[in-house]
Amino acid sequence: MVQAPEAPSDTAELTLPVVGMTCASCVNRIERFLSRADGVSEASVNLATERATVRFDPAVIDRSGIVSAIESAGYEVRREASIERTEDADLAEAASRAAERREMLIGAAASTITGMVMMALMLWPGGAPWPMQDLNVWFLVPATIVQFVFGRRFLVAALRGARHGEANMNTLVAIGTLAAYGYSLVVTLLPDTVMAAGLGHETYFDSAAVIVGLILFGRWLEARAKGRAAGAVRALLRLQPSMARVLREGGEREVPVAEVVVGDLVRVRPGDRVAVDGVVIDGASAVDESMLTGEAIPVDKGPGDRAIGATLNVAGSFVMRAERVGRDTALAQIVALVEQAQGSKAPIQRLADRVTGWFVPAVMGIAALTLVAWLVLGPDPKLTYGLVSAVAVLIIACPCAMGLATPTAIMVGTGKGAEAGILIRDAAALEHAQGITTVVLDKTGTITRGTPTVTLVQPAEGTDAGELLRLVAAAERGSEHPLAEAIVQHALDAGIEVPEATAFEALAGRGVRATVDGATLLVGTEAFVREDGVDPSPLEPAAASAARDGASTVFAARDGRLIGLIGLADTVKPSSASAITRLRSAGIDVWMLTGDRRATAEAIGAQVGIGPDRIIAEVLPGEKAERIRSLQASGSIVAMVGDGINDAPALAQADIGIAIGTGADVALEASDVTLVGSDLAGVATAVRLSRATMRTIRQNLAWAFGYNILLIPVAAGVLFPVAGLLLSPALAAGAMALSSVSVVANSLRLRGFRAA
Amino acid sequence: MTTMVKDPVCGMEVNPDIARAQGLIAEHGGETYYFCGRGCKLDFTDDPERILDPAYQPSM
Repeated sequence: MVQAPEAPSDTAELTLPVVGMTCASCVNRIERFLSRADGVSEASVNLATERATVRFDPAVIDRSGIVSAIESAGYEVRREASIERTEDADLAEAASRAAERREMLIGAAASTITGMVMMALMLWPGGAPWPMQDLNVWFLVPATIVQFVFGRRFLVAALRGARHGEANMNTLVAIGTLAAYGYSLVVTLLPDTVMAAGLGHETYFDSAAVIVGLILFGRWLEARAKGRAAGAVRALLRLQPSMARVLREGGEREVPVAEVVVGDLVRVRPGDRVAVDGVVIDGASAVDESMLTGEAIPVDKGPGDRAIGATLNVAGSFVMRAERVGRDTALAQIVALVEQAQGSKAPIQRLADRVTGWFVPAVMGIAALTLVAWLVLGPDPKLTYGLVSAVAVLIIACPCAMGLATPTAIMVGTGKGAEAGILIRDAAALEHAQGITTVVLDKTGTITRGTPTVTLVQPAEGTDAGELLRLVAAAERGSEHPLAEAIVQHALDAGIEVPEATAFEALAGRGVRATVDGATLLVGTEAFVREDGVDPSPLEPAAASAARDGASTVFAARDGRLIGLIGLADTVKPSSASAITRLRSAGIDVWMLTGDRRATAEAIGAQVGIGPDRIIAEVLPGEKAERIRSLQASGSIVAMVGDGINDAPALAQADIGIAIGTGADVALEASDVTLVGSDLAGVATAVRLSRATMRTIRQNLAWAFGYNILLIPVAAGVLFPVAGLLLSPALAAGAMALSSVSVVANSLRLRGFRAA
Repeated sequence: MTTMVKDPVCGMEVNPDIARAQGLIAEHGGETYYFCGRGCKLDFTDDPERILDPAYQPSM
């Protein structure tokens, strides 16, 4: 850190989010680069918050100068996460992406058709009625349009890569098509010179066009699968209510949430979402906080309790004092966490790019070697033969089927996934999923059902269980509380005939009072029945023991006398244990992650076979992504499975986020894979499917490159001394067709994949 | 389980497989070095001798 003397008045301060820092060296490096920049008097970088704070003289340097100093150190400045971001901006972004996709599809279709027509004209049955020289002139304009208009993105991307000394798929496409196009251009424009060199008038305009077309088509498929990256944040922002009822100067007014300030009193009515974070000062209710905690059972709220923005008030009305607004709310922090996790996810290098990474330099080396060999050993005209053969090597090396290798396998693979209820977002998700070493399961809603069910019916002396359930269900039938619904459902499932209740009265956060069979029934918390003079003590030990297992308890009394106790808890899905066993047998390490108490988590873990050493419990809502990151830091490739809004940052952080389809929109948007059902068995199937698909892609790439590699020596002129043979268009076309057919056929084999 | 190696710049333990997959490696004097992040790698490639000097103290 560079210390400045007492900051003079003509300095400004700016805080920027920096992406990509991993350790203290990164911090030092950025501080060093920043303090070296002219006009910066002080720079401090925080690794934990990923922020750089810079004090600078605005007359000398501005924001973009500071950003470029950070970039020259090798890091990026992330666009500031903003909860204020408008839907309009998102829509404009989506529209421009849609326009780009349309452009790709049109380019793909036009290029492929152009190439096919050219091919048909050249291979006219019984010999083309037109001389090749004429065809070449006709082809020139369409081929030029395909090469430089539709194929422009490859040339630009290849150039950008070349500046960084990188070769990828774009480089290969650019070099291959430019070589084919350039050679054909020379043949077309200088036919006499070409004839003099003993070469025919055959051109490769068609190959260049088909390659551009097929690869554009692959890109279009990929782009169509993506384009939802901003969806998670958008879904989160939708949870934020737009208006709040504020009590000011004696009156109650609806104001936009952005105008609520700390200290305002806000009324929250039943069915409203809480607008900001704060403390309840009056009233009582139950609030569904599942979006933040994952806990399905609403939490009772009374004066002094905290209420959190975006949670749903399900029962009574209350007044709260705003304590955190705008960017400081829990929701804003989750938004920031999701954005940060999405930005920090290590990008994978696509398999095709990895292959071309060594293929391109090798081919260019062979081309250079070919030229030299002809110059040294070849017959006259040495230079012409050498150049033509070197170009032929570049042309034949560009595998047309490469454009089909990945997209066809992914189309079949994702199609099989969809049949089995596994929706896979994109190719990157498949590539990540094949290497998964660790699966982290959220507890509530993922391993368990996520909704309460009756686990204990404990009648007091003198009552039997059936009678207890019948009376309690009758009293609870009018209530919309999830615990009440679970009790009524349990009674109906047990075949009990539930009588009608009269004089029903619900007291938010406490219980219900109703008249059943002429008697007054009380059902609610221990405190609630005690207030009416009922002595709950005979059942207190049973209630305490149920609470230790993570259950909620409800007391019931009739005409002032205790009749029993009902316990409700979240229970394990029937399929969870076998799904976890299957993951283990696939060699995957299985963990449980939950905000719940350790004892409850271990009780659930014991039922599904996850040991205490693989349970991470009592995790605060904001910490889940952090726990995933630390598993990743120890070398694991992590899949996170969850359903809640509070899981979204962890889903985005994990190498693969898998959302259970019954979960919140935000979770689905933040994930790479969605399981349509609620069955965990899909996780193991998804891993197997991704492995099978990636295996197919690898085979496809081998086919695509294989034929072309075989023909490279022919193009270089190895057969010339023996057979006088140089690369012929027929050979090139044959290789292209064969490799494409092999690739498509191989991808279709994936249809035999079985989900079970 | 992969043996962890030390990032020469910051002294952090690094999984070499992960570093390799992310391109966070550098060759110098016939040795391969692994890094935790871009900053360390760039610091190293800017001036390997400074880092490999026995008197150099990792900054963590």
